[in-house]
Amino acid sequence: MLSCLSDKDLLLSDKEESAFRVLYNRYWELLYRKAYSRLGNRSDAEDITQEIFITVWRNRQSINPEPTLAPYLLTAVKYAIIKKVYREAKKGVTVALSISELEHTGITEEDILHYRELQGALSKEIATLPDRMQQIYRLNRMDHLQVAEIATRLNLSEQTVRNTLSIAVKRLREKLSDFSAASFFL
Amino acid sequence: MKPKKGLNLLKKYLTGKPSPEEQIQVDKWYDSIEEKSEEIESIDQIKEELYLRTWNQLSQTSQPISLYKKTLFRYSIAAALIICLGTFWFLFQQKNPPSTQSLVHAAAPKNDVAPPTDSRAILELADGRIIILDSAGSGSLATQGQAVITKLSDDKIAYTPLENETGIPSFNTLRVPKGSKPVQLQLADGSLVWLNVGSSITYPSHFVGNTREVKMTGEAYFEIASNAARPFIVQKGEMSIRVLGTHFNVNAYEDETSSKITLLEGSVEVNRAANEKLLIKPGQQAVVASSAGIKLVKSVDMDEVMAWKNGWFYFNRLSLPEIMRQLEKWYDVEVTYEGAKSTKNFTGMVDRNNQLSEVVKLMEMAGIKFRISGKKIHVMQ
Repeated sequence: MLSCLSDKDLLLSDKEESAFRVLYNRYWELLYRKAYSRLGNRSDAEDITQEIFITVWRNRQSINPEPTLAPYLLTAVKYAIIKKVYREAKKGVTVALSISELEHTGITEEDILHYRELQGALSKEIATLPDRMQQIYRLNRMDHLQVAEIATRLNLSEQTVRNTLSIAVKRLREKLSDFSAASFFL
Repeated sequence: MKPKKGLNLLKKYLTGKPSPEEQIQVDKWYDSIEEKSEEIESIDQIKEELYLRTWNQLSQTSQPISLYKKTLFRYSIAAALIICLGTFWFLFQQKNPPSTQSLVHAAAPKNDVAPPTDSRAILELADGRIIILDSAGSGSLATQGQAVITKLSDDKIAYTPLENETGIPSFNTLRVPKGSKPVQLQLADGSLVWLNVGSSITYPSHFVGNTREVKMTGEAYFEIASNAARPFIVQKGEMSIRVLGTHFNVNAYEDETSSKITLLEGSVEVNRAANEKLLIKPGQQAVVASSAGIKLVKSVDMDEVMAWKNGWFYFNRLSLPEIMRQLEKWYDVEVTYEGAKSTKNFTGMVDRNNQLSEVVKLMEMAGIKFRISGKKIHVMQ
């Protein structure tokens, strides 16, 4: 029955082991394939997948899984992969996602435009949120404060902060659904 | 020679201070490699090994899990006390059921409500798309995860798995609103589900893992495709029903005080919360009430339980509010009570294809007065 639950319910479930198993089943292949295709070897891909699940699980009280965990996981795996590429390149090792390819990646006007549009649209949409919601969102996303810190600072309960954040992200995502890359920035 | 420029760029990216151009450049580079969808060699083995490794690491360092949980409920042994001031029997069968034509064309007279003539089921896909079943054409509706959804008729849809049954399934929800006929759903494993009015079911586009799990509200009848290796689990709130392959009915409307699971064939295990369970046999019913645990009813009138699927209202010593709740869903009307509610119980059988006024007329013979105005029934006393 757990496999019907949302990511959020799984993270908060008290049947920890089975909830974790369901989350793992849901996402492991997505992460593994991302890492495997870019790093080109099994053990690195496994390490990264493992590392991400461990981080998610240990921080399950404070990360935002709405509407799903996918954006969080995709951002996390991207960061982990790039970190690995960086470390390997420092040792002189080249992987599938090659650093010389990075140097040859040019950006076009169109790329910049798309990015600007997204950033512009995002800050415009943030400005339309209610004041308190905006404040909580900015403290969390721009000042990188944890839920507990925000709660103390604004004299709110942690649950209120979590709920507010999840509503804010949901609203922004809905409004920015035209921008395919938006989920990475929220 | 080390690619210095690249290294500097990545360092900046990783420490969170890239310029917009740098950010775009790294993102573009990252996305320049696409994941291949080809089979990974011994993927199931990787999956299991990696799982064990990950969970082991987590469980070694996390808090010990408490071994006992609060369990305060216990079986209620006392039989339900039935207060029955008077029992009235009414039976109304149409010996010659009306032809569909006369049903469609006979407009309900003023102050009457017609029974549902079609199914207005709503299908919600994982990406948020909504398909209204009767306005969609027959044939393939959409592809979800690894399955194709096909509309077989106005009240029947089926999920057919594609060859490659791996990958993340999409979760879909099928709803049958008030005032709609029941709908039949065929799941990707071949199991059949009939969904009664005012009900919903959430299920994966295809089943992965060791169990087949769905979530429901309202009332549904299941014919589960047999698969001893993968139990089928129906979840409703803190109650779950576990089966291997069998036929059973679940009545779990939110506005009723208890949920009833009735078994027609095979065997099922009904669980409530963590550690309360009951195994039932064909012909038996498990009654799950939030306050009183799981109760076994050893002999059940199957005609009563299955009446909805066979096109009948079958009221077996039901109170007026219990009957009215069924009428509210089927005719999509609102019931209001004027004065004290009758405490009488009613017994009777009526074809569901009757106009509301016909049903009401029978109950008036038992001494209750009704007034229908628009989509409202006033129960006068």
